[in-house]
Amino acid sequence: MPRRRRMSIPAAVAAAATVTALLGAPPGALALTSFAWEIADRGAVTALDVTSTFHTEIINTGTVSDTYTVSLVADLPTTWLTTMCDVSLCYPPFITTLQYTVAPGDTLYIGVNLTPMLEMGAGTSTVTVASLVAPALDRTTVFTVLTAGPQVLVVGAGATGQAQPVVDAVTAGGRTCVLWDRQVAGRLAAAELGNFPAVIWDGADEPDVLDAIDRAALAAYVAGGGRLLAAGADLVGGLVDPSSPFHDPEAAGWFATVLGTAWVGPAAAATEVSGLPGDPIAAGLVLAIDGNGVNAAPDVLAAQGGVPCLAFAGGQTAGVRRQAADSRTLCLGFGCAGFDPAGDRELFLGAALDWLLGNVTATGVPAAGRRLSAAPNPFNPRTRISFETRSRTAGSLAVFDLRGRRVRTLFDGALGAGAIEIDWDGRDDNGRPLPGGTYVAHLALAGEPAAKLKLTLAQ
Amino acid sequence: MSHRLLDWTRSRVPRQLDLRAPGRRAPALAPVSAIVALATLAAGCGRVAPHYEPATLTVTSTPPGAAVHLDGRDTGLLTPATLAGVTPVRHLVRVDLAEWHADPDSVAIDLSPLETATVDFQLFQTGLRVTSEPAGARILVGGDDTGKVTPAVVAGLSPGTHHVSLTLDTWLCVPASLAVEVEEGLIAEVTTADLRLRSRRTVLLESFGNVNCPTCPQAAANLVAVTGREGFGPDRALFLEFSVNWPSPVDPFYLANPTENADRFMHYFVVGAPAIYVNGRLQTYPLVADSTAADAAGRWATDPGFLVDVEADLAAGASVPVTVTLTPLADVDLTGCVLYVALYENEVDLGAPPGNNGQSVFHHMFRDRVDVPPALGALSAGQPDVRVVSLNRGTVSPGNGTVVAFVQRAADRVVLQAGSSACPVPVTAARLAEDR
Repeated sequence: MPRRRRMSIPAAVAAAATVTALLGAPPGALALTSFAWEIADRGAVTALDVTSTFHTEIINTGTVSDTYTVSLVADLPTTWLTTMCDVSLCYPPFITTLQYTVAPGDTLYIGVNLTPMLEMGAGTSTVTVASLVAPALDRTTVFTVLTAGPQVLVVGAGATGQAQPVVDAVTAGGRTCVLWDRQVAGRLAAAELGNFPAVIWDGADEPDVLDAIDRAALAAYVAGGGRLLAAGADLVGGLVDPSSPFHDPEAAGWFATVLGTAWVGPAAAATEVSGLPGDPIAAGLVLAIDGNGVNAAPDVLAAQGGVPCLAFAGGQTAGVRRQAADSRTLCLGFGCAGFDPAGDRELFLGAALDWLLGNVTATGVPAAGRRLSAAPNPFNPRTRISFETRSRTAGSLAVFDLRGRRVRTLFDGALGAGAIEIDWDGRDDNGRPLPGGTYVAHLALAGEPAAKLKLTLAQ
Repeated sequence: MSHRLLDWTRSRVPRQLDLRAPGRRAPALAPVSAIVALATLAAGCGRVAPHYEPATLTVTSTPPGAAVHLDGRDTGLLTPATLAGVTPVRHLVRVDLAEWHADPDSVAIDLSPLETATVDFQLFQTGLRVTSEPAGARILVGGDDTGKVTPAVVAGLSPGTHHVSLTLDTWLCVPASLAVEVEEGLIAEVTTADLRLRSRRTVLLESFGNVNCPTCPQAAANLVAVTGREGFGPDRALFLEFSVNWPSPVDPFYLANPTENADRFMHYFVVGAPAIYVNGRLQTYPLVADSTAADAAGRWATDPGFLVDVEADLAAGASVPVTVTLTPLADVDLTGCVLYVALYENEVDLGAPPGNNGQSVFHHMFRDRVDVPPALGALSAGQPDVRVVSLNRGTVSPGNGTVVAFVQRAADRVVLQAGSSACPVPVTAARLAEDR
């Protein structure tokens, strides 16, 4: 069985590592320059106006005194604030560089403070410790803070940046979303996860990711009613396959208990998945998954307490959903960033989040007020889009192309209660006929999650 | 006026050891001698005992019958009394007779081996007892130094009116002198309520903290401890705590008045919290209480030549009327200075820490200040400059607020003088000159 690709250990993971350098020294003696940077935590999810303080200690583990320059670079929403403290003083935000001489064996305390204010979102403070004696020892750590409030938390568990397409797709679908880079920001506690109605854990193939601590936090999140989508090529196999260097004998039980999933083996040359008939998430969908290079070696899954919902082209199970009394989970044997084109990614994630968040029942019937359909579909030149509202409300109905661009606004304003029908003539807002292809109707009603419907304009 | 009536003589006599006990309480001498001898032996234990010959001390008084105290211990003898076998070193002799007072209170005498010395005390029933806060002030009667320091009895005064005053370095006597009627056979009392010592300089400690600053609670606790120390009364040192907006930009004390808190920390260009400014100068070690105390005490020696007194009616309503009086003790030019008037909340107990540094009880938290501190000019001796302003009390309860005022030189930010409504008795120019 071929083993999957493995990525190198990111520098941030080695933040507590000790690095040494040998320096010129008098004959018969070697001066050793080294320091250890101990960091308790690298990320937090907080409410607005709550300051997170990340405690770190820089220990001169060498044999000579060294001077450390500690510098701070902020990447924050404009109203947020980040500062540093040492053992005796806290410095204002405009002081971003501090310098200390530390004797061998001594410890330098540095606290990094980050406060989200006024606007929700994510921010990072990047701290670099530079050794004056041995610049090769320089180390950088990123500290991350997210605010509670967005509907969806995407935990990028793969390589940095790999999950950004997932975030973009969720956002394009009309949901608020924020990204947590697991490699950079570290672990999340169950309480932190609990700030988000839905969590997408996306990516695999990294050491120390989805380890026992991560799994315990996710299990607690799901047990508390959380909605979890876990996706990634080799996500399951990497931990369950006995030949994997990251094999964890405890993992198979976790996948079964929390995600209703078992690992079967790697999927060979799987480039496409399709929704199983009658599935509330993906029935009728056929989607390519070979985008962004994230799905070189997907996992074939099996339901173990859950229900298969997606299949690879050969009919092997690619996705399993599980519904318990208060929670819903969805496990995919491939990464969500692989959905290609972007419109399909948005389409699938929209449907998946609709189901996870309870907007679509397990039997596939849209909840009251959310029923969205079109007839004919495929169509040319005209289709009628229908939906229902529970009561008088406000909303909009728009059409997007698969690149996420809004091409036509069909309605934006007040709506009465009951059945609504709106025609679309296959033209954009300027009256130009649109080329044949797939489009997405996007219905947004006040106070409700958005609903989407795939429309096919025939040539 | 001098009342040094001590008349004692001493003379050398041939070497002798007289253990007899003259006087009415002869039997008591033996134990005294034994104690002296035992103490001497004990002192020499473990080393070679010094060889000396004891001295003899006679203590007399007019009138006689006073109890004799040697080195703080009652000898059990009454004057006139002779103590033989006394160790030839320095001794402190005092007598005590009910309703009589000696002048001086006690005498220090250096005895040589084999020496016979006499100490004679004149006792009086007419005089003046003077106390002060702080103690240690020299007592002047009729403008003459009596040689006594408070608390003390100035004995031997003649009946009649005497003008009493106190002098103590870095302190001012208010009023400048006090007329006291001394009656025959009585000891008149002059208390701290009659003659008050007012510091010539009140030092201002300004602190800058934040509820998320890990070391700020220590700095705040130090200020409470320092200003609570012996000798640090409200007219000696006062402190005022401002809030910076880092690490927590949502510090509740900062947010209660962000403009004026920020104005103050920007005024000093504060670049680290906690920070303590002593009379406008950054204290190097804000976490070391002794350092802050020494810094403050070191500034008392500089007399700015004027006083600041504050009267505030915090019960008047949300708007607090404040009268600040600048009393020049000499001509003083305050051009280039401003008068800063502020209100602080004495103690705030939030029940739970509002930040992550664990501090939930806060002291002397800045709440409001006069929006535009008035500029000052030249002051002439004896002509006070009175300013009437108002402050916003906000939610501060009347009993939990204090108004401070201080004069700060704009050019170098040095605080020249400060005062607060916590001072018990304002010192007006009229009161300063008063002679009661």
